[in-house]
Amino acid sequence: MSEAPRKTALRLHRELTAIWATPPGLGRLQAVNHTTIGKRFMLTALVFFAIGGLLAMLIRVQLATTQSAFLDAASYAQVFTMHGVVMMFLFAIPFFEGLAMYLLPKMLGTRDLAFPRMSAYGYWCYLFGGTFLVGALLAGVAPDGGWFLYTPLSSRVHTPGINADVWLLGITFVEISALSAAIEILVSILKLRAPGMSLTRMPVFAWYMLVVGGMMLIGFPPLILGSILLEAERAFDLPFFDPARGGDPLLWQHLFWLFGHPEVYIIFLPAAGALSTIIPTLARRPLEGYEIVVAAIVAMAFLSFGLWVHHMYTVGIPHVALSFFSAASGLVAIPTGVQIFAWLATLAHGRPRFSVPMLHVFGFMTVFVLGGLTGVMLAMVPFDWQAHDTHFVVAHLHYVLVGGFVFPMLAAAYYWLPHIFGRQSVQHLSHAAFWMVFLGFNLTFLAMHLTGLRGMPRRVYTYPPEAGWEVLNFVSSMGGFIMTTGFALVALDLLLLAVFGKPFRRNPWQAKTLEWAMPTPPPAYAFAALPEIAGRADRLDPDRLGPSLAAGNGYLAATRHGWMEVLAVDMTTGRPEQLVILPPRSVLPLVTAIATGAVFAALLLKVYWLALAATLAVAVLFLLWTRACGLTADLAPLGVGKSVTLPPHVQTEKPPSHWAMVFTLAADATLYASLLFGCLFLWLSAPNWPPAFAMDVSIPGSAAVAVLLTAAALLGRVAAKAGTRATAPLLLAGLAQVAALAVLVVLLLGIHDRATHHAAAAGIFAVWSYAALHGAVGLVFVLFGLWRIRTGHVSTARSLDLRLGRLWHDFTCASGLLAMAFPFVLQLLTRGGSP
Amino acid sequence: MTQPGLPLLLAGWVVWAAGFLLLYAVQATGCRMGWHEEALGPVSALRIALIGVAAIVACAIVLVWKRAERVRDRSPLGRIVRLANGAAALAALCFAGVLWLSPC
Repeated sequence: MSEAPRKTALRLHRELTAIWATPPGLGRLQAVNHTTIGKRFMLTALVFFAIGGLLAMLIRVQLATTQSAFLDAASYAQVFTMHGVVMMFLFAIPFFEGLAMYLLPKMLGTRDLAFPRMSAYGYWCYLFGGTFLVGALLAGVAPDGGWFLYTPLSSRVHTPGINADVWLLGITFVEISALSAAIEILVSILKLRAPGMSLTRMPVFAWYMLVVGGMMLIGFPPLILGSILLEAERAFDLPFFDPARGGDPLLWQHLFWLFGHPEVYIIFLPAAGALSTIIPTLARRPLEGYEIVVAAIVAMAFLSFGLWVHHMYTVGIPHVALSFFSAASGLVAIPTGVQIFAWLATLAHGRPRFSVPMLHVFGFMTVFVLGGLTGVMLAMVPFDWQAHDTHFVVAHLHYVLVGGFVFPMLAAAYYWLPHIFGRQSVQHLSHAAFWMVFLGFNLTFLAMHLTGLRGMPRRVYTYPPEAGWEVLNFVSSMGGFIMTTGFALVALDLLLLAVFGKPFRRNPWQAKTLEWAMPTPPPAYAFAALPEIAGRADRLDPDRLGPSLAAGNGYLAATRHGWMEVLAVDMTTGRPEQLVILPPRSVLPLVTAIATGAVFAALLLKVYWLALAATLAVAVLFLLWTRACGLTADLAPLGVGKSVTLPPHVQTEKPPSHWAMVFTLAADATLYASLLFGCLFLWLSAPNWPPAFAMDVSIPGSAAVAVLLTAAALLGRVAAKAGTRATAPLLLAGLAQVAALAVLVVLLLGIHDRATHHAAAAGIFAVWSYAALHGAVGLVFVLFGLWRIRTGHVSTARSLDLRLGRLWHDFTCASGLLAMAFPFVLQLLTRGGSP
Repeated sequence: MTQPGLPLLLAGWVVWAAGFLLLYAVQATGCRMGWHEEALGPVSALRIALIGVAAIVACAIVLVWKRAERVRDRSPLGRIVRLANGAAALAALCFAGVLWLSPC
């Protein structure tokens, strides 16, 4: 290479680093870069994994012998609950979120995710929420009702302390992080790819994460709704789960498992995506059956939502309904099998390298397939009736989760740590560590199947000597300690790799994906120039492509105004269509997360005025985020390299933020649908219906709200088309929102006393509260629009801020009309629908 | 020739999921309203309702599948769309229990 291009590459590196890198010292608090945030997510998740593992050891010590006095019943309840909570909510999901954040922009050939500040905000929410939960454990007030927090055990009558509130508020706090990550992942994959990377040229990991992002978007809202309803019951006595007042504990189980079962696949699919990337590289052959694997992932996503009742076979559900869930539970083995056979075929047709990641792939294959087989057993209703709530189920779920997530995670760690640290493993400890984990795991959980089949129930803190479970429990405990020692060796091995590993030049695995077409450790900007992709992005030549991109051969190979620039493409074809200007690093995500934490802390302490004040602070802080977004003048299309010019994203019809709003509303709609169906479920299934009192609802009041919300939506549409002349329609839309809000408050005050008497009135109260909250947020959108017009961010070409508001007003109108009709529908059903 | 997009990729499974929820809702509502005790000939009103809904759902999924098959696009995305919709059509078999299992 000549001297001149090297100088150019170095200068470009320095200029891009100045724009994209995180400053040292306190400047780290401003970090928004995907590499930094991804690493933080993964490291924090591993700390929580260690905490969860320690809790597991406490459980195994307690159960190793009969009538153990190591833990009392109350402490044991907190320990096993927090083990599940930490592993499911604080380790598994956040770890793959971090992995996805770290890898996706690099695999997709772009420089960052679509909303870097949301990534940072999500990380801080996760850190604070997780610390909140673990802090509660240290204070002795941790949740103690199981990781699924079943009612009525978790109701205020049976759990009067704050233990259940810690679960409900802490998990909801963490779920903010998961939902923001889902939207981030979806928009980034669909819009922020390298030019030419059509959907079917994407590396298969991106397909997996695309499907997982969609599943999180639909799967988490029912859990958030359930948490809100249960907290409302505990704090304000709204009886959603109290059968004496028209509630039903089964409503909680439905809402929880509507999230809880897809959750298993939300954890497994990213791990499978990592395997689908690692196995072809190590087998030195492209993945067999790329197309059928993608179809299988889509099938798994939908089937996983059709299984939720298979956790509830014993609650008394009629046979025909059980058959739907049992059949779907059996069917899900087919797309899973498709992927396993695709991996086996890839290995069989290739020339596998038996390296350390491959050892963990072997661990995955063995353990996960065994877990899948017991899963098919449990999918069959008669067997499940026998094994339900025994240690057999505990053994099954650990085979699935450790097999389906932990072994792939370790394979991924050994595979991608060289990318993160720029060093390779020296492999002195790797083999011993793997075998200790593998043998220890199987010793623990293979024996546990038998303990379960011999009848030992879950969640008991002790058992009598005559039960005959002691030898098997002792074996499980010994296996647990061997496995823990193995994990400690893995941690030491990875630490040694990071500090003393062998440096390498580039691409140590001879991989074919884009993340290796960059220096390692990666620079903050990932690619000095964005590549043009002309074929499948998992069949590239990073060794040739990397130096070429570093020399500036590609798109956006120059800096402009210090802007953080990436390209947005057509979702299907990958044709470049927008120049996206990302906002710079900021401390605002941290401050906003602190304010969000204050909301949850105030709710936990039941200081509601402080919760309201903190909520207002969160709204103001989010508005401050927008100061760094947008343009104050219309720009002509800008050159992005290769003689291509593109408009800035704020001057296009559907930029990434449009899709983020669409996905946010999709999650919101799922929560709302869950609420409406939850109320109808109570009418169908709960005892003590209909309520003893009349639920008279003001027809003029309801009609007024419907008219005002419709007017606000229509005025929002007029404003979105009016450009700089949108002030008048926006003001009118704001007045309509205020008036609708005022009428809704009057309606809520009229029903609030009856809401504590019966679930029917509580349901109406919840539905109207939802409408009122959306009206209030609609008002914020109006004020935001007015502010943006005043600051010169809006013109006919730059109407994005107003169009986002229009989407919100439309949704508020549609959901508000349903909310106003809902009490009348419920009245009709309760009057005319009694058997 | 237009390329099929994400909506057609998901269409068959969206119909399957909607049908799944609809069947569960009809079963629960029918039991609550006592339709299983109202005989229409040799079978109950609830079973007729369930079979009717299952048949409509199955037909809808098959129609989506046929629509996907009509896309003559030979690109990888076209093949993925056809595979996904074919799988959704086959998954309608999990509603077969409406024919003989006790509904309440």
